[in-house]
Amino acid sequence: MPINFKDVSFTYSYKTPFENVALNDINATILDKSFTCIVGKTGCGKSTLIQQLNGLLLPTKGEVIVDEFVVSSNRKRRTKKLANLRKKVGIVFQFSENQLFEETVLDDVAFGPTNFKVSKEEARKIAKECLLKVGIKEEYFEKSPFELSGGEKRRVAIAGILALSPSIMVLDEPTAGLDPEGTKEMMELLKKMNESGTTVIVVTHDMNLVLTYATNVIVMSDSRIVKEATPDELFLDNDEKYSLETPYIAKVVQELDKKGIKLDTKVIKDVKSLASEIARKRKNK
Amino acid sequence: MNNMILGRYSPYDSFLHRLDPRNKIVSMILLMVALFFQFNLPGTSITDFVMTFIVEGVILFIVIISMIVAHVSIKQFFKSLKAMWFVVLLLFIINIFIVASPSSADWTSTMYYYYGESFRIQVPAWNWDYPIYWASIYQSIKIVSRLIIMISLTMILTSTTKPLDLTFAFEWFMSPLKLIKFPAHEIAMTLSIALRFIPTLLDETDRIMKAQSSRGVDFKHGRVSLRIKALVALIIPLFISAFQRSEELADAMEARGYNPRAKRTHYHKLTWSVFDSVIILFTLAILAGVIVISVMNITYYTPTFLGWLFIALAITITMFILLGIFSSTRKVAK
Repeated sequence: MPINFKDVSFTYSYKTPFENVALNDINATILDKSFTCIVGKTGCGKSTLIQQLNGLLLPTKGEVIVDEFVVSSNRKRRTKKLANLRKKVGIVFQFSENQLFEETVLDDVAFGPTNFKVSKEEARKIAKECLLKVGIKEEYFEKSPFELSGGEKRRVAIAGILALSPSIMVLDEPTAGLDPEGTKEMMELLKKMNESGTTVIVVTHDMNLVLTYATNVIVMSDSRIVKEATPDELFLDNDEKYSLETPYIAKVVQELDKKGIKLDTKVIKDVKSLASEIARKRKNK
Repeated sequence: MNNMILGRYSPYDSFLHRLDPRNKIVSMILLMVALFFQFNLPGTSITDFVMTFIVEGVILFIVIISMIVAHVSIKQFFKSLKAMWFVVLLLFIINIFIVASPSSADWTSTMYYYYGESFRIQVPAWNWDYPIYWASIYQSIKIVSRLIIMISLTMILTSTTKPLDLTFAFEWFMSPLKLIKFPAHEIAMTLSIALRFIPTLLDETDRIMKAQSSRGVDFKHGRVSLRIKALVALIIPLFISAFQRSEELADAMEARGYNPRAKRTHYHKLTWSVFDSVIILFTLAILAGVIVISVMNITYYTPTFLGWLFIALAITITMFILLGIFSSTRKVAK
């Protein structure tokens, strides 16, 4: 089931002197099983947008529809138990390592499922699976989460959400502050999750990652959605009116284009696919 | 966090915003002191309650005028008071039970007999029979209303004064103590940092609450034991991040060469204007009036109804004149 935003507006501190419009008339669809990236400048409403997805924030106007769940500030329309939506839509916040609090890594990951009435043993079993999935080794399970490094902590936090087995996974800048290797591991993990049928929504500033991993991109600017496209449409649409940084692969493609070498942009995702596309082109000559 | 209007600065450019913070602090304290006087006026028909409510009425009037001048929404104020309803209710109930002890032979006990019992709370099973006096109900109303007015006074101070200006004012008040090597500047600095971190910590709380809610924590519903567990999930990460932040801040300050002992100047100078003098004289007059009536037991002049009406009218006119002159308020950019 896709996610639908219908005329969604959101204002922080609504009807107070501190009003602050964060979303303005958002209409969008996020496809099922897609890998969607949400990009845009800081403060354009990306984080607010994703918080509507599991009812942490209720839109001041309009509604968000996720499967049978309706997120709306209208009580009649709104689904009664939004807590169940939290199990379906897992949100990993920016600097999610700050949410860890249990004594051991394993307990912390098991904390989520126990909130949804899963027995302790069962929760620990799920937690073990999820920790292995995110690449945390077994010897870390009984350690305190505060002994881990930043990247490890973040993976534990992601495992904590993964343990709820959500069908939609939302991540707010999961790669911020990670080293290149950590970034790559993180994105590969998300890709694997996506391939196993989870809808993945990622907020990011790294356009290289967007080009490599995303199937869809939503560009936001000044509380509005200005463009919904696939990465190749976005980055090879040369006019740069969204003031996004161009991925280096796209730059190469554009330069080649200027030199008269036309490549099939649809298949180009990373260095490897670029190289094979150039090779294919040469062979055809 | 949306109803945290209490204690937040609201950026307007009004008469009250322009007043000197030192003046605002002193005026607030003077009015608070005026609130807490007891009136024992033998030989008159005016009881303590009536006199207290008159004083409260005058101060409440000033509060309301100030709110209008400072563009503080009264509706919002009541909304934010809602967060305090539990404390207010508890105070009210405790006072009803505790204040009423007419056994002691002081003047209050005669007052209890004067007003009489309102009802008795009887629990036959415990052999319990407790009288509730009208006087203790009045007394509770008095205390609760004082509390609310006090809160609103402080709210006017904080919503019209930038936190930084407040700390400058505190530093100024403490500056004589520097002579005896009292760390006035350090305390002011600590205060301003603490104030500066309140919104940051509130945001952090909000963020962690959202993160834990995403993991299925319910902070609002459910059994008490579950909610305590939920609080643990909030407090531990909050403490850790607060400590991290404080360490980072200390390092950043040292990196920029902060030395608490250094002699320093201020970018903003506090300026005392004529209007500050007018306002402080006004509040002093109110306090003086209250002291005169309360402490000096003035019984020879009892204003009639017309007399009180005249005084109220005089205050109203003064305030409106002030309002008319200085109400050129406009919203400034945040």
